[in-house]
Formats: sequence, C-alpha cells, structure tokens
Amino acid sequence: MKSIRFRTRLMLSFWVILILSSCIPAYYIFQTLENDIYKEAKTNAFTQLDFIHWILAGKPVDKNNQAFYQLDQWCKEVAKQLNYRITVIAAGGKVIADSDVAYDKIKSMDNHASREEIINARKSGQASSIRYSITLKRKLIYAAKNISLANVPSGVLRVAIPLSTVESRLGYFSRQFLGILFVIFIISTLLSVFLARRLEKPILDIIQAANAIGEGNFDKQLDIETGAEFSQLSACINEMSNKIQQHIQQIIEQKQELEAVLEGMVEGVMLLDKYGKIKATNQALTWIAKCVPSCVGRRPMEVFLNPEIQESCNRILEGKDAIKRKVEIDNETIYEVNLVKIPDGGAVVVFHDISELVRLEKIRQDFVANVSHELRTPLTSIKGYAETLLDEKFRASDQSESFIKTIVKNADQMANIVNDLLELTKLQQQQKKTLQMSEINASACFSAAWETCMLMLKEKQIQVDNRMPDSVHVMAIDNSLIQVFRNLLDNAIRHSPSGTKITVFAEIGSEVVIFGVADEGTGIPQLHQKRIFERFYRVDKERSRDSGGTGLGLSICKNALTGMGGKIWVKSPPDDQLNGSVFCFTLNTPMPVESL
Amino acid sequence: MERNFIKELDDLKMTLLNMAALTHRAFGKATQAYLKRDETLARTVIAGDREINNLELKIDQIVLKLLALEQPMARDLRFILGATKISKELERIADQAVNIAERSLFLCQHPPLAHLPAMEQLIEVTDAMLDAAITSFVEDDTQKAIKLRQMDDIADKHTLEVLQALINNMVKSTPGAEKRILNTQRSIQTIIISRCLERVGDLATNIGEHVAFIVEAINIKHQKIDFE
Repeated sequence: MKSIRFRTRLMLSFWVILILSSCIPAYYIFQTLENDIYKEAKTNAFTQLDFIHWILAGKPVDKNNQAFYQLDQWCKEVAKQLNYRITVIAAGGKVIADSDVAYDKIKSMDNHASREEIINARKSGQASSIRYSITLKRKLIYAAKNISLANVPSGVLRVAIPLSTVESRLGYFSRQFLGILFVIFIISTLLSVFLARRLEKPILDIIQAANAIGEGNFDKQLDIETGAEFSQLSACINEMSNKIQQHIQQIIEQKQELEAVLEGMVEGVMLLDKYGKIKATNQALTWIAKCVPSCVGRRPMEVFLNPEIQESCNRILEGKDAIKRKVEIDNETIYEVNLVKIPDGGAVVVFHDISELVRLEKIRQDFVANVSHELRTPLTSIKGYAETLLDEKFRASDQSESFIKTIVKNADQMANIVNDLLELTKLQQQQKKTLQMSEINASACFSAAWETCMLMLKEKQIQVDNRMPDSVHVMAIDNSLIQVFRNLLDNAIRHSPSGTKITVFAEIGSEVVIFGVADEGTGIPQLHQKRIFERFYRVDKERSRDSGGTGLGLSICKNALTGMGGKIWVKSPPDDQLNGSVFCFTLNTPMPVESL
Repeated sequence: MERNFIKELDDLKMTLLNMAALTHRAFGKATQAYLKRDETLARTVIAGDREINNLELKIDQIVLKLLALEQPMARDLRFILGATKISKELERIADQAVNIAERSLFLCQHPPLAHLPAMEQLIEVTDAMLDAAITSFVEDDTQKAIKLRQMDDIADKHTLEVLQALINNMVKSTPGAEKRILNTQRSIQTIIISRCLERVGDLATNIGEHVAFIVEAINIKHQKIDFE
C-alpha cells in the first residue's frame, strides 16, 4: 500500500466513487424500466387475449367432424390479422389448434399441460409467463385464459406476443449507458491525473525543500500558490528553514567565538572524553604536546609522555572533581596543570606555563644570596686583616703594609660592586625614559675602551685583533657604548689564557650593526649561557672571583644595550671552532636623513 | 573476550609508554646532574631505577599472559613481541642513566674539568635520539625510526671528539703527582660517561628497529639502509 503512488491512489478512488455512484442507480433504473415494460407487455397481452376470446365467442359453431380443423383455420386467420401466435389447448393439455403450426403436425406437438401459464390459467382463469421459445428462437410473453364457450370445446386459449421490441429498447438503453460510462471513465482518469499532477507538484517541491534544509542549504525558498493549505505549509517550511538557519548561524557564531577564545589562549586546553581519550585541543596545546601530528583520539600519555599527567587524568575520570598540580615536561618547562571534571563524564585539562615565574623567582632568590655573598667575601677579609692590625705588636711588623694593601684592595672591590650596582640601577631607570641618543662612531668608542684595558692586556700578553672599520656609525650614547666594550674586553681578558688573541669585529647591515668580541678562552657551558646576563650570576663560583670582576659586567652590558635598542647574546663555542666564546650585540644604524 | 584483549593490549602500550617516559626522564636528569654538577639530581636517578625495573617485569608479565591466552596474530603479535624487546632496551638505557649519575656523583665531589663542548653536543644528540625513538613508537613513524641510524653516526663522532679532548687533557703535563692522579681520575670518569651516552644512542637505534618491525614487519637490523 505504501509503495502505491499518490496519483494512482487518487485515480483508483475516483473510479470506485464513479462505479458506486453511476452503476447502482443505473442498475435500479434498468430494473424498474424492465419491470414496467414487462408489466405493460403483460397488460397488452391480456387485452389482446380478451379481444380474441370475444371473437372466438362469436364464431359460428360447426358440429361436424371438421370442427377442430375449422378452429385451427380460424386461429390462423385471426393470427394473420393480428400477427400473434394463437393456440387453443384442450383440457387435457393437448393442442387442438395453433396459428403457427400446420394442422397435420398439431397432433405430434407436446402436451402443454405442464406449461406455467396453462397451469396458472386453469387455477385462476387467466395467467401469463415470459419464456424463451425454442421453436421461434426468441423471447415471448404468453397469456392464457380458460375458455368455456358453447361453440368451442373447453380448454385454454393462449396468445404469444414477441418481446423483441421491448428487449431491443432495453439493449439500446444499456449500450448508451455503457458508452456514457466509458466516456466518463476516461474523463475521470484524465481529471485524476491532472489533479494528482497539481497536487504532486507542491508535494514534490516540499520534499525537495525539506531535503535541501536537511542538507544545510537554507537559501531555497518555497513558493507554492496552489491551495490555501499548501501555501500555508510552504510558509511554515520557509519559516522553519529561516529559524533553523538562524539557530545554526547562532550556534556557529558561538562556536567560533569559543574557538577564538580557546585559540587565543596562551594556556593549552584539552578536552578528554569519558574513556580518557583526547577529544579536542587548542592550538597552544599542540605546542606543549610532543610533536604528535594529531592529538585527537590519543591518550594523554601518548601525547605528553608524562606519567604524572596520565595519572591525574585517570584520577579525574575515576571520580575526583578537580586536581591542580605542577608538572615538568622535558626537564625544562614547568606547567601548572588544572584538571576539572565535566558532568557528562569527561574532563577539561588546562596547562599554564609557569616556567617564567619559576625562573624569575629563582633569579630573585639567587640575587639575594649572591649579592650578600659578593659583599661578604671582601668584608670578611677586611675584617680579618683589620682585627689582626689591632694588635700593636703586629702593627710594628713588616707585614702590616701588605695587610693594609689587601684591605684597600678588598675595599676597592666592594666599592666597585656598589658602584656597579648603582650604575645598573641607573641604567634600569633610564630604560623607562626615552634616552637621548645621537649618531656616534662605534670604532672610536672601542678605541677608548681598549686604552683603559692596555695594562691588563700587557700583563697577560693578549693580542687584540681589531677588525672593525675605522668608522662605524650607530645610534647610541658614547659613555654607555664605551662601558659595554670595556666590560666585554675585560671579561674576555680575564677568561683567556695568557698569550691568546681577542678578535673584535663588526658586521654592518642595513638596519643594525652586529658587533662581536671573540676570545679563545675556556668557553661557557650551554647550561649557563642563558643565565650569565643575570646579576651576580657566575659560571664557576670558586674560580671567577679570583680573577676579579664584580659579577655585574654582563648585566650592565645587557641593560645598557636594551636601553639603546640593542640585543646581546653569546655563542660558545663559536661556529666552526672547538672552544672559546663570542659575545655579540647589535645597535641600530642611524636613520636616513630623509625619513626623519 | 575480544574487548578484554584490546584492553590488555592498551594496558601493555600504556605501561610501555610509562616506562619510556620514566626512562627518558631518568636519562635527562642524569645528564643534567653531570652538566649542573648536581648531586641530589644524580641520587634521584639512582633511586628511581627500581621503578623502571619493576615496569619491565610488569611488561613481561602482560606479554606472557597475552601470548599464552589470546593467540595474537599479525600486527598484534609483532606489537607484543616488539614491546618486550623495547622494554629490554629501555631498561638498559635506564641502567646507563644510573651509570652516568654515579660517575657524575664522583665528578661533583671534585673540582670541575675544563668545559667540553663536544660533550654537550653528544648529550644533545643522544637526548634527541631517545626522544625520536620514543616518538617513533608513539606515532608509528618508521621514517623517524630509520633516521636514528644517521643520528647514531653523529653521536659516535662526538664520542670520539670527547675521547680525544680528554686524552689530550691527561697527556698535558700537570705539575704535582697528586693533581695528575686527580686529573686522570676525572678524565676517565668523564670518558665512561661519554661511553654510556654512546650506548644510549645505540639502544635508541635498536628501539627504532623494533618500531620498524612492529609497523612495517620489516627487519632492518644489521642491514645497510639507503637514506635517499
């Protein structure tokens, strides 16, 4: 039933209605018509019969042997006039006269006593019946009447009138009727097809529109004019499509906002499903994750290779509400990991990078420890020697002078430290203001710094290979630049073995000039390279204090350069060398005059 | 039954990854202990070895159970066999880390030798190799696994450089017999560390070979591979 098309169904129902509405009345009308025609035929037959009976009553009587013969002749005569078949049947049922049968054959005719009309006529005087006559091969109406006349032997008089006229009328009617019915059938079929088409089109349109909506194409608008219901339905569908579009748009916007928020976060965020697999991540997390191309669908363990994270995730999935813990990944970055359970049985994990905080905290702690250590060391020896000198006996000895010299040396060292610290503070404060820089020749600044170091260079027999051009113009403050060169040279001399060489060079670029001071000393382990620019940070705590220096030189360099818009870094060992180190820094070239 | 098998396999992978993470960390800490001359770090490495050994035992147990009860086929079978092999290599790497930590303990207690850039490079390469070996396992990345061999050559080169530098250091005449002995002791301990690092590189290469076996069902052991 389901698979029958709407069109076919409509057509079939049309047909059923048609058959019911036309055939039943038609049948009823035919029936009545037939009855009426038969009734009329019967009445007519009886009238004829009565008329013949009256004629028969007036027939002269023949008392001779020829009586039957004469009766038969009479029958034939009357029948010729009236064009009916007239039969006279004796009381026993034997035919004694018949208009349509020759006289000599009458004797061989069947006994008619069992005929319906004869039996009934005997009972009630007159009767009729309609039968198909085999003799005449047509339908006839028979009317019979009892006769008890003086001139004729008693029996039954019968008239047979053909029904063919009546029949042909009925046949004509029914042919007409069937013809009309057939035409109506064709018309109704066409009508049903046409109607179905008209109904089908909007339905197909609606199906198409609904499909389009299902596929996410909301631009298609339905426009159906056929019928109030359809236009209402199409309006409903259009509105539904608009609403769905709005909702989807809203959801998409919300999703995009959320994604933008997530992507914009510095913290790595990851969503776990209830099986402990990663459902979604943001961009920041993929940087934390260990180079796995796609984190989604994997376990946290596979992505981070960190047992603590996996263990925390497991605990959250087993039912704990929230966990916060510090996790170190790859021995270098420290994350504060926050895990929160979400209602549908997953978890949100947020990675907050706190390595910078930890590093700064470490620098602060180290600074306090270092500064006190740096100041205490000379102070201890000053105190020791001064106490010894308090002894009058000792004061008189030859050693007292060298003791006082040591005290002075240590006091100088302390003064240097305090001066450097002040210098550093000044530089750090300067950074906040804009500095008044001018175009200066860096080469001249280096020469100035070089001169101050001449004594140390001579003592350690170190050569300086100056590969700088004679004029290198940069934007800087001359005192600060001299200080930077002096500090770097000073460091290079102190960390170089005797008899080695220090190379100074400059690479002039379009925007910046890169300066380099390279030595052939012991070099700096990579581990310390990031931290040597911190205040008082020392690579080798025991040794470098012997070689002098305040532990602030590089820190001053860094601050001075940052103030002048430059950068400083170290490479140890330099490219293509096995040992030694090179300190490089940049300064901006003077801006072309036009752009000023 | 089937689900249980999958769960057991997952369990095996997780345990192996746990072991890999701990081994990698132990190695990282051991090298940091050497570089930073940090005694406490060295001691944590030595103490942490027991956990890694326990994980190896656990992996053996799971593997035995899986082989006995589940009749694994094809890739599952290779994974299970590979897992035992990889766990063996990891355990050896962890042992090497303990070795490095022990040598570092000695070095921490004595004044430092001159800075050795080659040693830093060697540590960097071996660390990268171990990392590559583990990620190749996680990501089923055979290419990365095969590349480990190239990295191993670099590691070998750096080991030789360290050896040469330290031989030079020992040959260099140091005044005073006592100082000379100390110098030689420290140099030899450092040579042992470089030797341990070189071994870690070899073992990481082996892990890469096992990964290739698991993923591609190929055996690249003792064969020449054309890297192009």
